[in-house]
Amino acid sequence: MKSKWALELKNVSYQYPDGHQALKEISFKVAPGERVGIIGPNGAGKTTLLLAICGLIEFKGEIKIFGELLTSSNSHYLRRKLGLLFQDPNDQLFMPRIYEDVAFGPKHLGWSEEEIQRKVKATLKKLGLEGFESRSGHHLSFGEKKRCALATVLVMEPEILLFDEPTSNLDPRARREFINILKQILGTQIIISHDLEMILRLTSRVITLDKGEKICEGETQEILSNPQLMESHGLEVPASLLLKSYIS
Amino acid sequence: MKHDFLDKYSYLDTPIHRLPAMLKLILVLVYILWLTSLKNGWVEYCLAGGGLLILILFSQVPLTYLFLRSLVIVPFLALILIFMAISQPEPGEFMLFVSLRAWLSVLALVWLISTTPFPELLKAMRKLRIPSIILTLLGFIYRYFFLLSDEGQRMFRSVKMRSFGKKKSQLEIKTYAQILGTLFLRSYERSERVYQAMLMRGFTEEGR
Repeated sequence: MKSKWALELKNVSYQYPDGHQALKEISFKVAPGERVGIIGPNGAGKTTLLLAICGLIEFKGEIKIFGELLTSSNSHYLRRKLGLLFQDPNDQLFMPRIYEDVAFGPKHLGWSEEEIQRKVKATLKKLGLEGFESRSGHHLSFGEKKRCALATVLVMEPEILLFDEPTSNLDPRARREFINILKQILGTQIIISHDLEMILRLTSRVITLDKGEKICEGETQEILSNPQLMESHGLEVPASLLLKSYIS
Repeated sequence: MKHDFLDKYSYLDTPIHRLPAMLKLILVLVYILWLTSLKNGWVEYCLAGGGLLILILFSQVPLTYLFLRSLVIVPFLALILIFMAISQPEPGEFMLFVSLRAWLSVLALVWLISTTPFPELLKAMRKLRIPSIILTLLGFIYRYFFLLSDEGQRMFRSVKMRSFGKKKSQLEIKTYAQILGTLFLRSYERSERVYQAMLMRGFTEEGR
């Protein structure tokens, strides 16, 4: 029977080889189709948490993806359900041309050449990247790189999308365009970001981390509009919420 | 940041640039093979050099650029020549022709890279059934060469900002060693992240 949760974390902990405890007993659940934001100051363990969810680091505790327990032996299989957008698109675009980069995942999933061509073309079109097939990653602007990196993720049609700082280093226009793209993507999403305006626009629930610990979890607007909570964990109430409270 | 120094002139529009990558690759491979079988004589080497010069002129890639790029062979050649000078009874002419042969081969390769975009070259190599692991590695080198060079440039710029008028040659060897060490560490960390990105897209140790 399929689980009613897309993602379940139970007491997930991770310690770096140098002894630094990056995650301490983190537990939460995400329902299918839900968009959850994870916020916290630098060094809170947000990226480490994403790496643990993808089975890219060895952690303590339990992570279940659609009810299946993530282990080192089934991580290759379960990763097919997950799509991770890295913070730096240069880490994600490693092939000489964009077409080869977007086709890399489908090739390793064993899709037919015809299907790969069709899906790559459709994904690039969806993200406004028509004609980028033969371009090299290093000749693109940061915003274009970011969209290409997103294409490499979306082409595999993952059931859960994980975004690590999707709007960092983008100029205002590229940021706005990227947020609009994210809004149109359906499915379960976990978004890590310091861009709290974006978190407010995109997510219905947020989890706050600090120093590897889960501080609180709740409705986005409620958490983000709490100045004491925000400031005590290196964050700030988004300007739009401040303005709203000022007007009201 | 500069992003074009590896295949800087490969996107020019000349009849040579428009030739299929496969044809140019085979031409250069045959040329290098022919060079290795060439007798030590001035007429033969003038023919070999002249033929290449015609191709270079037609491709409109600046001669000085190609010449400077081809000098990359000099340190390697110098090592070989030292051994030759010790082992050969009359090394003079022999060393000269070996040097010419090596230099012309490298010049032909630099010409190939300068007239063919690197991804096209990889495609042609794939058609020649060169093992995919070698092609993947070449692709990675091409892709990350730019990033590494960017990082290096940024670090040297930062050194410049804090070296207060000292020229590069006046900086201590220790500083260069530290910069290279940091660059190596950053590359290592990036390689870890790239590997994680590959794993996320279904890559396995066996590859496909």
